[in-house]
Amino acid sequence: MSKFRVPQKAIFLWQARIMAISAIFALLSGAIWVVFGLAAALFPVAASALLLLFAAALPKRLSYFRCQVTKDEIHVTSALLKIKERTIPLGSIQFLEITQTPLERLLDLSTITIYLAGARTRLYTLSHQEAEQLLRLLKGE
Amino acid sequence: MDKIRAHPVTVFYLFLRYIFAYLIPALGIIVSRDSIKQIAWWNISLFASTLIVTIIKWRSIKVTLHRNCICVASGIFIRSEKIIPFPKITSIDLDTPPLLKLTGSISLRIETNARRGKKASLSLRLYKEDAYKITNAILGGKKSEPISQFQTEHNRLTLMLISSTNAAAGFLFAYSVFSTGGTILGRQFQQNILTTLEGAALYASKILPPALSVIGVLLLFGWIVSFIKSFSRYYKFTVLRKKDHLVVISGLITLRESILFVNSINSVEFRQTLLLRLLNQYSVYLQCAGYGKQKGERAILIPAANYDKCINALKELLPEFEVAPVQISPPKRAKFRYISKPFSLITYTLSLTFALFSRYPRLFPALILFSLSLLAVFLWQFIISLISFQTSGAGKGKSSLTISYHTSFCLRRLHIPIDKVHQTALISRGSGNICDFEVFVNSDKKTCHKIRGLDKRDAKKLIRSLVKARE
Repeated sequence: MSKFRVPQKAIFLWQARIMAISAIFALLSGAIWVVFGLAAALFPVAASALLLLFAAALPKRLSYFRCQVTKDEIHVTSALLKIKERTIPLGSIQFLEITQTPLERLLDLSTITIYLAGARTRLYTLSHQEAEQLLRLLKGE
Repeated sequence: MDKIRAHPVTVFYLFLRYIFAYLIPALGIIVSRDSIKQIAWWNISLFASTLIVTIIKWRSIKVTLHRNCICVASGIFIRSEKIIPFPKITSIDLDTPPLLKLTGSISLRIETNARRGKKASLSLRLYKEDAYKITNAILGGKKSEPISQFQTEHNRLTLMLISSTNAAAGFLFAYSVFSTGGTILGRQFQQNILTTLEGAALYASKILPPALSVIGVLLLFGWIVSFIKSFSRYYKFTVLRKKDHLVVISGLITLRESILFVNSINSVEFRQTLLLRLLNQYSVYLQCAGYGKQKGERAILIPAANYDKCINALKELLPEFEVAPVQISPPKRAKFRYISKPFSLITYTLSLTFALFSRYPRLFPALILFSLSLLAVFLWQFIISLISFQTSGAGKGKSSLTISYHTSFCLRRLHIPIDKVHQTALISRGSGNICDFEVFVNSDKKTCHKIRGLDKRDAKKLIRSLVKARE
C-alpha cells in the first residue's frame, strides 16, 4: 500500500494562486470605490478578504488530503471545503492524465486527473516524482 | 516501447484553431481606421507567430506505445500526458478525408467510456503505418479474418436516410458552407446561390402562399443537402465481424473505418420511424461509447431491413446479443397516458386558432398556415403514440433485458445485456396501479429509457428477476 500527501511546495503554490486572485479583487474594489463609491466596493472587498482567509486556512485543509493505492482500489480523502472520502476501484479507471503548468514545472510538481466512466477525479498537486510513482501504480506496473 | 510522432499535417489543423485571431486586425480597421498596408503587416506578423506556435505545438506531441497502454504527451506551456490502458478502449475511428489522403496520413480517434466531451477521447493525425501500428497493438497484435459480413444495398440506405434526414440540420450546414464559401470565394458565389434560391421561391409563390413557399423551398433545399451529406458518409456501408470486434467501413469522399469492441457495446436498438413502419422496415443502431459521437454521425449497424433480415444479420454479427421478446405490456387503462400529451397539444392548437380567428378575422390565411403546420406535427406524434401503446413493453431473457418505447417521432426497441443495466426505477403518480419504468444504461448519448404506463406488479416482478439474474 502506498500513501501520498500534498507537498509543502504545492501548498505554497495554491496559496500564491489564491492570494493573486485576492489581490485582483482588492484592485478591482479600489477602482469601483473611486468610480461608484464605497458601498459598491463592499462586495469585492468581502470577496478579497474571504479569499485571504481561505489562503490562510489552506495548509490545514490540505493536510487532510490523503491518497492511498491498494491492490485493487485507490482511496482519496480531500477536505478543501467539506471532507470527502472516495474509493475508486482500479478496474473502473478509464484513463489517466498528468498535467504540468509552467509554475508547477518550476517547482517540480504535477497534477493527476483520473477519468472514470462518466466522472472525473482530480488529485491535488503532488511532487512530480510522487506523481510518476502513483501513475506507475495506477498503470499496474 | 515504440515512439511515434504526429504527422506534419497536424500543423494545418492546429493552425485552423487560431483562425479567429485574424479578426483582430479586421477590428483594427473599424476602431482605429489604420491603413490597409498597416493591417497587412499585422496579418503577416500574426500569421508568422501563429505558424511558429503551431509548429512547436506539433513538435511537442509525442506518442509512446507501451505493452498495455498508449501515452500521449502534448502542450507547450501546460504540459499534459494522457495514459489510456488498452482494455479500456471502447472504439477506434480511422478517418481519411481527401487532405489526409493526399498527404499519406490518417486521423485516429480513440474512445473510452469516460464521457466528458472532447477531452474524453484522443484524436491524432498520424502517418498511415503508425496509425495501423497503434490499432494492431490495441487489437492484440493478431490479424484476424472476418467471421461474417454485412453489406447494405443502396436502396436500403436511401430508405433509412429518407426517413431520418433532418431538413433543418441540412439547411444550417448549407448556410454555414455558403457563408464560409462566400468569404473565401467572394460575394459573387454567395449571391449566385442566394439568387437561385430566391428564384425557386418566387416560382413556387405563384402556386402557394408566399411565406409557405419560401419555408418549403428552404426546407426542401436543407433536406437535399443533409441527404447528400449523409449518403456520402454512409456510401458502401459494410460491417465485418472479427474475433472480438466489429469493423464498420463506409464513406465516399472521406473513408471511415470504425472498430468497436463487442464487450463495449452497451445495447442494440431496433428503431422505426413512421415511414419505416409503413414499409415494415427497421433500422438497427448500436450504443457503444464513441461510435456515432461525432457531429452528423449515426451509430448504425443495419440501415434498413425487415425484422427477419435484421435478426439474421444480428445473429451473424453479434451472436452474443440475445433478442428477448416483450413479456409485459401496458394495460388498456394506460392508453390515455400515451395519447394524452399529443391529444392535449392538438386541442390547445385548435382552441388557440379559433380564439385568435374570432379576435383577428383578417389573419385567417396566416392562422390556417400556422395551425396546420403545428397540427401536422402533433398528429404525427399522436399516431406514433397510438402505435407505441400497442408495441411498448419490457421483457427479460437469459442474459438480456428488452425494452420497447417511443420518443417524439420514433419507435424504439432496445436489447441490453443485464450487466450493462446500471439502474432501474419505478415512477408512479397517484395511488393507481400504473407506473413508468425507467432503465439507465452506460452510454455517451441517451442514458435513461422510459416505458410509460406499465402494471406496477408486473414491473416489480421484472425488477426482481433482473436482480436475481445479476446475482
